[in-house]
Amino acid sequence: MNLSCDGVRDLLALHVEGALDPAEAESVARHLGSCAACRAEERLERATWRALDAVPGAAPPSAFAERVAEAARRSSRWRRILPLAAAASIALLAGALALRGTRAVLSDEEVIAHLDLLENWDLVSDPELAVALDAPEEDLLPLGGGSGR
Amino acid sequence: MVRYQRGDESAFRRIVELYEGTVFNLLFRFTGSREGLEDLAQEIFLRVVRARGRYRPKAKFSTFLYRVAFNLCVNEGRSRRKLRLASLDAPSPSGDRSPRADLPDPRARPPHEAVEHEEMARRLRSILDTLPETQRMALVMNKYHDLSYREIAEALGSTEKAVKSLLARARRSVRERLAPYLGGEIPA
Repeated sequence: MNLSCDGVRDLLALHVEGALDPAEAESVARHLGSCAACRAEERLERATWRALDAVPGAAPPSAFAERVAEAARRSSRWRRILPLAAAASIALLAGALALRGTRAVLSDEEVIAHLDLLENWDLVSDPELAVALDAPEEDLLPLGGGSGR
Repeated sequence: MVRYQRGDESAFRRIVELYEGTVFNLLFRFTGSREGLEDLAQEIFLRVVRARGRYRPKAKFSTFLYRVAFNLCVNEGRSRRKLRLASLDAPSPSGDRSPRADLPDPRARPPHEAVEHEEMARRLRSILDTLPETQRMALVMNKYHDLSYREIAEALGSTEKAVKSLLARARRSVRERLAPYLGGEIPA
């Protein structure tokens, strides 16, 4: 395989990591043996990798673990309470309707008062989904073999 | 994580203590900003709580955590563009609740070297910010977290081949943009 300078420069990072397959590695090595400009680029690649050490990281603030554990406890409590509260509200609503002896017709005020509940009944009946409202499902799924996508 | 799944509530705090450093380093190097970092880190661990019932230990827990972090970063990224573009020298919130920059001790370098080091860090930050999110995350995981191509692939929901390609493109971009500043550091 004869590689152009541009092709070699695409592969330089993997070359210095030793991550090329044998045929590619041999082609890159052959090209580097005869191309001073790409040899300079290879040195630049190594220097860039070292330079990246300058990017700082960040340490967690003090008592972070304690605050997260407390937030998790609150989240768990809410997770237990939410379906019970929803069920109780629905039961109250149904009871009120039964007492009035009406057919299932709600006044405007009753509809407005329970609008969020009526719209989201499917949601609140699934506690996990309700708690994870802002979490895309795929974020929560465990890894299933990893590279399937 | 398995202990936590079995109902050992103290195990969750242990998980946070074990991985908080990893998560803060990952988020800070990915976003380049301290602002909102603690909220983002907390959300990652709370997603672990929500996934508690469904987590299956088929892969290393850390890989699962990296995957949650990556998904959150990408989702949040759309509404947090300003954070990505914030410079390293932006003033950090006061008080000990703000994440601490894990900078080397400046006394360890002569003054002129410390200045050059900070200048290089700023240049690199602005270069990293121009990379597409997936390339940037792959580079951060590879360079600073020493993850293998396979582990990065699992975290990104991709393949090893795709990760190699991502990293090759990311590193070429960084190299080409940094080249004007590295002239004196390249041995002949």
